[in-house]
Amino acid sequence: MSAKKIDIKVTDISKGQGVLVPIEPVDDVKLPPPYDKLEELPGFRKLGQQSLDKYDGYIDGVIAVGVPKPQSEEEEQKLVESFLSGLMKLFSNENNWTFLQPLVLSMEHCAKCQTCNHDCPVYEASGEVEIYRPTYRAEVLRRLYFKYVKPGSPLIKKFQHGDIELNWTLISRLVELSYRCTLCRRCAQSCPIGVDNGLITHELRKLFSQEMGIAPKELHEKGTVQQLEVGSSTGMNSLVVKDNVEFIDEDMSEKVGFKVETKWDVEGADVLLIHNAGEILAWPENPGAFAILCELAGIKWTLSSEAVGYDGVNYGLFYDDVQLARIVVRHAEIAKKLGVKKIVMGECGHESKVLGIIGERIIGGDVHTENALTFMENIINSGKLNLNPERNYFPVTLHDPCNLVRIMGVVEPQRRILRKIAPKFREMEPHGVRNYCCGGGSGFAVMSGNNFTDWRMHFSGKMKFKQILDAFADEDLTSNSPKYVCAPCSNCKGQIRDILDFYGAKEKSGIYYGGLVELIINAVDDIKEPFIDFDMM
Amino acid sequence: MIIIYILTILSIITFLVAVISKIIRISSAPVHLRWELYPVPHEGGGKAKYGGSRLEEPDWWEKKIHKDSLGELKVMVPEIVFLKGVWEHNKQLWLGSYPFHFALYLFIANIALFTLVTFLKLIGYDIFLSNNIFGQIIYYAIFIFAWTGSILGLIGTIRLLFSRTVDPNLSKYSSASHYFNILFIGSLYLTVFLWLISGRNFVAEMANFYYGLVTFSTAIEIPIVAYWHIILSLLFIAYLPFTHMSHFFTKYFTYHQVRWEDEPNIPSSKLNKKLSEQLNFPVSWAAPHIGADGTKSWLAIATEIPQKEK
Amino acid sequence: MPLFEWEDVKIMVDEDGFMENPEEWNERVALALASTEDVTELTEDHWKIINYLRDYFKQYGIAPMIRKLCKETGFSLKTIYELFPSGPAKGACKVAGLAKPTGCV
Repeated sequence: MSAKKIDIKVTDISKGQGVLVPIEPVDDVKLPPPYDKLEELPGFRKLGQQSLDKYDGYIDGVIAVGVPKPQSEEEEQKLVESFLSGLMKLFSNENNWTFLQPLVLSMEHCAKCQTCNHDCPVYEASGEVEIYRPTYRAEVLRRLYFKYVKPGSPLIKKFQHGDIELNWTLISRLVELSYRCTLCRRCAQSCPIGVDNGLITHELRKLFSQEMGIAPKELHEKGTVQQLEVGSSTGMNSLVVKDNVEFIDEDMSEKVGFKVETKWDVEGADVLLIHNAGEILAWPENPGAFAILCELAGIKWTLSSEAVGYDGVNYGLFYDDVQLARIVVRHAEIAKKLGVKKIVMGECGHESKVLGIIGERIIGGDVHTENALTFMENIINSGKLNLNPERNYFPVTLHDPCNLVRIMGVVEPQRRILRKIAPKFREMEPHGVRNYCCGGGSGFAVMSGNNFTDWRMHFSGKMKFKQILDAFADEDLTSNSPKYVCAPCSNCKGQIRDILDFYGAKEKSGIYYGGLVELIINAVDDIKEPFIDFDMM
Repeated sequence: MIIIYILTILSIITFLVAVISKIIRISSAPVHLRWELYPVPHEGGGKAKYGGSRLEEPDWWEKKIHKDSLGELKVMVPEIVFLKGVWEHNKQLWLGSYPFHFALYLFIANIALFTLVTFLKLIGYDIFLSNNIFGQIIYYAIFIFAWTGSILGLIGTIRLLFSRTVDPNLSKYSSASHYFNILFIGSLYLTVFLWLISGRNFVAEMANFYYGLVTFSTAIEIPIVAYWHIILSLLFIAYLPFTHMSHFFTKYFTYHQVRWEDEPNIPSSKLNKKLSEQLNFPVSWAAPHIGADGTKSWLAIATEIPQKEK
Repeated sequence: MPLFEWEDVKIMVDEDGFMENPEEWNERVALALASTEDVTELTEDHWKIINYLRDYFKQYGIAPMIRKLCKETGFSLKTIYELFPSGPAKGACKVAGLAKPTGCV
């Protein structure tokens, strides 16, 4: 029986053992040829016995977080108690002032009208599997909220909101389920009442992390904890990052024929540029292109070599307000110490969202921040670059990172730039604030344990792949002449790279991906060789 | 009749107390972190149309923020009057939900008109008596609203009950109260409908009831079905704010306090001061990496170097 | 963490098959890990890459930039993919006993 036909009720989450809905890839989201035959696409790995023995939280046959099995009944009982105490804190002023008001509003007013369902790319790509419905996990938390947090007669509460049984099975499955939503908040846009299922998922993750210490290790141990301890989520300390950037500078100087030099820790600079440090390791041409851009525009800019100051990522945004606050406070302190006029965030969606919007109410409002897209458009408008759009004469489409677009309202700068520098630019549908998430949102792009990568490809990322293919529908998808997906966000790039690899889209259709700044530098007429080298990508 | 009058007063008091206390509860919640969702309709300079924000402007903090309140109205009015969001995203539901809601609007309009008529009568103008053209207009407005409202309402009720029962998308998520609420509201439509087709003068009788209510008169005569309608309406008014249907006013908060709330944190502003207070709230989250002890504040926890985790 | 066994080699690996205890690495382990990466034989070219990765890892505690790896070993990215089909980060680093790369890479 296919997963979508399995009849699951909200209350089933606490019932039975093992996998609730064994999912399988389906072709409800139809890809165009040569990707139209489901049986020819890469398969979906099943969990091995070792994983099955080790973890709890089976809901769909996928493990993203890996919740260790409790060793005894007492331990299990303790975990349930810990969840309950976290639930109370989630609804208290002191512990959750950061999101309490929107959370309570979303808890108390959902009309269960399901208007949001079809906005979810995961729900759609799964063929409408019940547990992926945007309201499913929200409804579980809502029933727990009314049962345990809100005062009132149990009988009336049951009549009004339904019941649910709280046990370890529910909790462990809910942990995993809170990592099957990319927090893209597309569903929240269509809610007539203003309920936000993305927020509810976010709050669930916080409960698990802040009270129970449960979070994916890519986000926590190897993410925020490593960033605060070593300086970067990539593990680069100050020395390594300087060494790497020096290498990039040399590489860039060679490429463009003039000296590109990154300056470190310049006090009083106009701009403190904070990249997502992953760019330095995985996409060095991106920070390289930024250095060239700033050089050409004559901007007084600097990087910081202080721990955390050279890595803009803040995975705390995805699962933990305390870790979020710790990192954003460090970023602000470093900017204040250097006395820069503003922080410019690199091409990274969640970094931009934290420093531009979310963190603003933690760091005090006296540190100014600007996103990369606005920053770059301003440079282009200044006329300091000698741009020749013909140098970008290949098909280009634009991916809208949710955090920059839907969450920050930065919609047009990137388009105005592309209209100027990419003659074959075409939009995806839908785009702008109604875009689809890349499928790697909320930290998913860096999570790959067990069979989670396969899940990202078949479920959360499929809609984006379809959008990419559709955007190039007027081109030959069986020819490998280069086509460029412009994704001005490190996280989205990681996910799009994985999608293109997974479906073999580079080999089959010549689909490449990269950021926006690379396209800008590729259009600069004073540089002899093309900056973008498809053979190297 | 006196019992009904007392019930009316109790019902209105319950309604007001519940609504006001809920408003106080929501608006006294701490200031939350920004969580707006674009498009934000008060963004000026043509940005609202495509969902842009001031963050598209270089050095936005040096520029004047212009908030376009008219832009909000342009979204709110069609949303309230036509349930535009549901129309755009869920047409099947709209077919039931819209007549159901619109009928309520018409009934609420009638409450307002009856109140006006009663008020005028109290100060000496019985507009239904004379050949008052104004009175005629109001009379027929109420009459038409009642007919259209009760018919649309009944259509909506049947359609919604049908969808909630037949469509598994809805039935799986419907608690007993969903059906109860629809039937409850449906009963208000039904009783007016029956009153209207009974051949009695609905407008005059209802106006008499209102007048009787404010004068505490016992000499009011209304049919049985009117008793039903009035009692059910009063119970409903008292019940409404305790349900998720309180969205009729909390929607203001989900939009204005969350979705569209984008106030920048400017040093020494009111917002800024409130946030500084909140940063001193004590934290008691129990996970080891938080390092909380129930007394240390958010500020202390966010600024200290975290202990190395074991 | 799962136990990975290959001939006489027994090591603990993470969910992606990367070594949990990189200090236990030796040439036999490299062969064992290579078998999971569709690499049947470790040639001189393979070893050149593995040795570079290990030296860099010992010195800096993380994997080098891919661009650096290419430049220092003289192999193009294409060649590296031919040698390690799942690429430098997921393939070569795994065989060289490095920890799984972290952060947005």
